[in-house]
Amino acid sequence: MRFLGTLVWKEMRELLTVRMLVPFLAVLVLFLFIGRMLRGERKRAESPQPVLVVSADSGPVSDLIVRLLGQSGLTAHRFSGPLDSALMQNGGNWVALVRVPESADVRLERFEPVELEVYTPLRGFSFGQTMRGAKVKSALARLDSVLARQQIARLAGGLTPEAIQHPLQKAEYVVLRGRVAPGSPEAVQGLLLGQTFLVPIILLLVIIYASQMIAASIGQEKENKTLETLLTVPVSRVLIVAGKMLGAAIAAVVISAVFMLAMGYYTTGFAEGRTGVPSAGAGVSGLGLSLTTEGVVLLGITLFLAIMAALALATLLAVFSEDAKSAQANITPLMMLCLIPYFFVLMFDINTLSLPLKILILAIPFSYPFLVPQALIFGNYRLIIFGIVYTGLFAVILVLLAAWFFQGERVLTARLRFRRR
Amino acid sequence: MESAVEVRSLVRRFGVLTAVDNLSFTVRPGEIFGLIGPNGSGKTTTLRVVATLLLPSSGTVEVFGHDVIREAGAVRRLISYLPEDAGAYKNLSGLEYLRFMATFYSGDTVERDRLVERGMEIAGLGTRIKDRVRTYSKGMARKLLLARALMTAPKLAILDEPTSGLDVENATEVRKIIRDFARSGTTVLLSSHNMLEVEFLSDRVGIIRQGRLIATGSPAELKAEFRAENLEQVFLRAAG
Repeated sequence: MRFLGTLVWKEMRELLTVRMLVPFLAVLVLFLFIGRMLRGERKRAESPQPVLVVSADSGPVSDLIVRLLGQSGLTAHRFSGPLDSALMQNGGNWVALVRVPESADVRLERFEPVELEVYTPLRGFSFGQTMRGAKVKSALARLDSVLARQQIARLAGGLTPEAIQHPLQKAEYVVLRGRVAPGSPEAVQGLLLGQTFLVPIILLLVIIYASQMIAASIGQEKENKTLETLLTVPVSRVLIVAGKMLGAAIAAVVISAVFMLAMGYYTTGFAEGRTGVPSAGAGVSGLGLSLTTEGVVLLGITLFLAIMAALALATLLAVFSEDAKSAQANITPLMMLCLIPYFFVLMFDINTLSLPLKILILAIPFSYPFLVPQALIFGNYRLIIFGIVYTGLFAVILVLLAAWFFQGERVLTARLRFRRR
Repeated sequence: MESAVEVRSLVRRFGVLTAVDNLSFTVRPGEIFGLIGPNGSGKTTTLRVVATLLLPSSGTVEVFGHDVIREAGAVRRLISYLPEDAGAYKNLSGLEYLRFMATFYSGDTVERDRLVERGMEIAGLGTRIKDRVRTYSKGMARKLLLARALMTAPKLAILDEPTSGLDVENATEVRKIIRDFARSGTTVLLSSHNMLEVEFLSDRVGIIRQGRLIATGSPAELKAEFRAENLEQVFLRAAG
């Protein structure tokens, strides 16, 4: 245990260097900075912004516009002069200018459509600009709806305008594994994606970092000939491999955690500002979409086995390297094996894939951590158990193979050679 | 008396290349035995087999009676190996490196610290021992590595080109360390293509060429046998 601790300590000291951490810290600072910027921009966008309402008189239409803009968190200013003067008003510092035609009230009276002119100054392509534009659009959509109701009431007095405007009312329910809950499927899918998006990202980061670190460690040891010295010390070579794997895994988890925190801050800043995203609502909680303790355990086992398999495979691939650079190049196949299921699971439904593609995805042991979160929600325990057994076998075989490579002389003599023409 | 190293009919092939070809020699306990020969003559391969890093294609190698294949673990407890052009972990300080390596040769921290003390003494780096290895000159790094190899007082120190790439001052210092240490009872098996160095250091010498031993004996015996003034002339005449 003392030897293992010493080996892990050495790995961590060699892997977590300032030079190696600087790019991660730079990304961290960048994410924090962007997240902060987005939050600031959102706050600015949410503060009441001036909108100019240009109309020759103050008829019912322009009154309604002013009221609805105010209810949408905008400050409406009336202006009765010509359009050219209006455009110069307030130094042009308004987010939208709505021009109400003189004949608006008369046209409405005759049940004729009214054309509102909306002028939006473009001051850039920022997130805040989009938000402000959305607010004005939302207010005008409400105006349209209110006017439609008023017109219907005039035409068909005594009837409920909603019954004519929306004769079809729908109450949506989602059915999952026999459970029924009120809510739209889009909203539930959005919620599920949010849940299942995080796990694959973390896994992908941990596997990629861990693999790169163990490859770098073995490559550097070969390049600096420290491996030769290490292999002659009176300590089990299995312990040397275990120390390398554990050190790389811990370093990868630390870096991934920091990275995810920064990314979480960034995405929250972004998501908080989004409008129009349907909410899953409280009703869907009856579907049992959150992970149970049993689910967390199963997901944890799958993740652990996948990380072990990745570390062992990276070790095996790095054994064939001659230096740190070739070690990094040698683990490219492992990266591909992680990226293929990641993209497939995010973009496609495994059940609708063609048989050869389905077999391909299921044959890759790194697919299961991406598949398990969904399988848990849909109660596909056969897939989960198969994944654990398959990934477990794969991991055990690879770990034994990696240990076997370190036992003899292969770790020093193995080379990948490509025939040159 | 039991030999420190017993190499019998050692053959080591790498594909079609035979790096060591039917090599046999014995190293007696407490002596400094130098393997000399030009680059690519099989010196490093031989030392790597003795250090349990490479396996023989055929033949046997024993260290203090322990077979390097069947009893590799026992052999590793007796030896200390310094590879040619070896480096230390660059992000550790010299002290941390010595402490890291000493852990594997000690039962507790008291014993480990004792080994580290000895290592610091051998390295003679003063306060620079606390600096990171990446800041060391080649000579300082080599002295640190030599200290690492000798601090555990191994029964057999295997030193591959111990002064390779060092300037005269550092090479002289390293030779002095090896010689002083051998007086304390450690057997030393070293290799070098610098024949004058080996003549200065070694009690006995094995001259190796194209993987084969072409002469063996003390420097004085070899010079007398080949009527030569130094080992370089011995090598040229033995090879001729």
